[in-house]
This record gives sequence, structure tokens and C-alpha cells, in this order.
Amino acid sequence: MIAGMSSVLLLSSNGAGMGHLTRLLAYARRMPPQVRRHVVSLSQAVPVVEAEGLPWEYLASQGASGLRPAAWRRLFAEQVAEILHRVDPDVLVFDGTHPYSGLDEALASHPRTRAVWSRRGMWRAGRNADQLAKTAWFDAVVEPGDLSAAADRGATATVPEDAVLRVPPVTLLDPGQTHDRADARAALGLPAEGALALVSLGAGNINDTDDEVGAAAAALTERGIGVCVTAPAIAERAYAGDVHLVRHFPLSEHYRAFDLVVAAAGYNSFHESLRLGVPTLLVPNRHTSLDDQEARAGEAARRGWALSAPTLTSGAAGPLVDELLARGEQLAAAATGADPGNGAQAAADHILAVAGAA
Amino acid sequence: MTPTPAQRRRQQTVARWTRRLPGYRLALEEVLPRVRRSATLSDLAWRVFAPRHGAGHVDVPMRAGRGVTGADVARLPVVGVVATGLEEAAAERLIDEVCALQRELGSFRPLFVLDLPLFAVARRHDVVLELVVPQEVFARGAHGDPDGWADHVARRLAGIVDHYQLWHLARADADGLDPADVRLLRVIGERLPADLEVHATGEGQEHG
Repeated sequence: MIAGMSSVLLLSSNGAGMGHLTRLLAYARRMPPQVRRHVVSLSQAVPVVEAEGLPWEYLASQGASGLRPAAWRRLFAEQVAEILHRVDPDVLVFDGTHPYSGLDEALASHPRTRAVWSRRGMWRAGRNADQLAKTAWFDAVVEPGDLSAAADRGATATVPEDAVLRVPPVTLLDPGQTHDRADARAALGLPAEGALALVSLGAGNINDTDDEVGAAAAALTERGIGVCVTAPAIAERAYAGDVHLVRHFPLSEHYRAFDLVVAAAGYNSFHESLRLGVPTLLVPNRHTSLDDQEARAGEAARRGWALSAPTLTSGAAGPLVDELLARGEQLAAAATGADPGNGAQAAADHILAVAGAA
Repeated sequence: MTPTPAQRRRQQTVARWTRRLPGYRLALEEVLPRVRRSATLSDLAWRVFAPRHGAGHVDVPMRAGRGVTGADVARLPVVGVVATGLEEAAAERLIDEVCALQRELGSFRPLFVLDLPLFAVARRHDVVLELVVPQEVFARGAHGDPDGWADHVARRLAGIVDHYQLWHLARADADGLDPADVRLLRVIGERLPADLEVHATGEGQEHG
């Protein structure tokens, strides 16, 4: 460590999507520039960190390596320990719901470094509770809040207030940090005029109305709304309609390009859409192992912040898009009105306070 | 044989159950080290269990690459290919060439250690890609001692050799694999056991 400077190592698990990495970047962006920040990730999306001007490293996940879990854990522990000895951070922040065995050994090998667990809630009821014992590996736990926290029935919901710092929902951007509609559309290469919807429902077949992506695209196209997708494979397969591929990180910078969002209810896309005031139709992914997207989306619908539907197939998409066109602005206003603000700054401050104890 | 997902789950369940057995810690931390230190007991274990070693005998589950298929791909020797400082096109060409060699020979599994995040190329071939920090990035000082790059690479490679149980570590540059390494890869097949159930997807070859 260079004297007088804090040094923070941000470690993200693999996970699905960009959520873990994005949350860590939300903290990193809110730390003073003289703080040395270093990103280590098991996600193959980690090169996006380059645009933030931060040094980064990639470690292969167990899935990417194909190694036996026990062999991978030993390799992971060694690699993290090597990084800790080399970078010598004051604090390591792990974002994930499942701290890997081996992280404890790595931390023990470099006792000067403090550790913080950034752990979002909304776990499925009865799942993953054994992971809470790993709280003992960390000096502090920060829980990025959830707008739908009232519906949280997971194991983290009952953790006492004095054992965790609960901050408001964390997103990379605050509402005032987005580009205006014209600039956003120009940056994404989208037409300046006409309605556009971002469809972010994971992998799918855009040509098949029995598929969620295809059903959404068909309903939007029938109503003269262009479809924007983030997956090249979906865009390449589209043989009809007004389909655009949008590729940018962070895409939320350009959310004003979209008139509507049709998305799964993962932590990041949910909070970005609602916080940034885009009328949103949620289709929770029911196949996640831990993230209770149905509860998150259901609570948002109950509160009148967004529409939610278990599926868009079997003719459901059309009426839902019609309702979103009619009520979307009202829903978005209710959501932004209920937003307690971005918790990223409070989390960053707490992390630096823990670092100060190193 | 490479275990199926169901077999893997069963193995993990049994491992969890074993770890919870009374006396597990004592056996692991006290008894086994003493057995290993005993020349007589070690010799007995070797005679009874005849631990296997050498190409085609050691079972290392790992992404095998699309160039091989069969029940025993997990027993194919793992060959690390290290290349740093390459241009992106040269690194991509290297992965393509080594994977083509795998498809032709069907006798090894490559693992790439590069300093470029060519994840899409690695996914295309379904091979493992481990990264080290590029030397010029390391020299800027944000990754530790700016002069410590060679040590960083050495430590990373040592862990990879150990945990992926590499049979060989090959070097490559902008011209591709070292010719001596290519020759070595071409003779691995001669050393594989005759009963190994592996097919090279490129040539339809089979060992065994």
C-alpha cells in the first residue's frame, strides 16, 4: 500500500448477468479518486472495467474451468492469496451470495486485509441459509437494499440490524446521470424518432411467439414499437420486425433511449428500470436458484410501480403492452416517488471506514 | 470415466456426509499425515492400490475442448499453452491452431494461459482460458511491484500446473507453438492406454 492511500480490492463472483460486477463498480465510482481500486472477477464480462480506468484481473470460475469443485477451490484460494500479497489491499469486498470456500484461507494468509461481504437479499425462502455462517469470515456485511424488501422471505431478511449495514438499493447510476433521449439514441445507433422498447429477458427465440422474447417482440412490433435487445444471438436470428442490437456498458446510461422496458426481475435491471423512471413490464425468471424474482416483481406490481406477469406467451403479451402504454408513466412516477435514493455512496463510505481499520 | 452430473452430485453428497463423520478431522489432520510419513505403510498402499500416473491414466475433470469426445476424455493429458505479449490476431490464431491439432490427434486437452481476454474464442472451442496480467499493464504499478511481473506469471503458472495436473507446459509466440512442442504433442497418442475411449472429432480416430 502507498502511504496515506486506501486500497480496495473488489471481488465479484460469477453469477448470471452483470449484477455483482456492476454493484462493485457502483461502490468504486463513489470512492475518492485517490483510493486505489482493483477489480478481480470470475465473470468473463470483467474487461468492461477497463472503461472505468480500473485495473482488473480475471480468475476462471469452477464452471469455466470444469475442474472438480475441491480442486478449483484450492486453485481459487491460491490465486486470491497471490493477489492479496501482491496488491496488499486494506479491504477486500466480495459481492455475491455464496462466498467460495478458499476465500477464507486466502484472507487468513494475509491478515492485514479487512473483508466486507456485499450481499443482496431477496433469497428464496429456505435457501442458502447455511451461507450465512460465512459471515464470520468478514469484518462487516453490507446489504444493498431492495425496493421490494417488504416481500423478502429469505434467510437474510431476519438478520438483526446490528449485524449488517442495510443501505438503500444500489445502482451504478443516479437518475441525474443518464444521457437525454436524443444523445442516448445517437450513442446506441438507434433511430431518433419512434417508440422503442428494451427487451431483456435472457436468451430466447425472437421469432417464436411461444417464447417469452418472441411473444414480447411480436406484441411490440404489432403496435409499431421497435424492439431493442442486448444479445447478438437474438438480434441475428430476427427475420421480421424492427429489431435493434444495443451494446454498451453501462446500458443504464442510455435508458432514456427507451420508451418501455420488458425485463426479467433481476436485482440490477429491476432497480435500474424503476429508479430511472422507465415504464416497465416485469417477467420474473422462475428458474433462478436463489434470487426470488417472483417476489420482487410481485411486490412491485402490488405497489403500482410496474406491471408483472408470469409469462407473455399464449396471447398475454398484447394486453400487457397495451396496459403499459396506457399506465406506464403513472407506474414509473410511483416507482421513482418510492425510491429512497441510491445506497452506493453509503456502502462505499462504510467500506472505506472498514479499510481505515486495516 | 468422466462422471455425469448425477454422479457428480452423488459424489458431492458422499463427500459432505464423510466430512461430517465423527473423527473425520482427526483422521485427516493426524492419522493420514502419519501414514504418508511411514515408508512401510506408503509402500503397502502403492502395492495394493497401484496409484496410476502418466499420460492417459490420471483422471482430471476439466473442459476438454470440442476436438475430443468419449467416455474417457477426463483421462486425456492436459497440456498448458503459455503465450504472452501476442497481438490479438496472433493469440486467436494460436488457439485455433492448437484446437485444430487436438481435433486431428485426439490425444490431449489444451489449456491456454494468455494475457488477452479472448473468452469468445475459448468458448467457441470449449477450452479453458486462464489469464495473467499483461506485462505492460503490470509495469504501470497498479498490480503490485512494477518489476514483479515475472514472479506473478511464475506463481500463476505454478498453481495452474499443480491444480490442472498438467502433463506438459508448452510455449508459444507469434509464430505459434514451439516446433518441439508440436512434435511432442504428435507423439502423446503413442503413450495412451489402448483401452482409452476417446474419439478425435476431426478425424474420427479412437484410442482403444
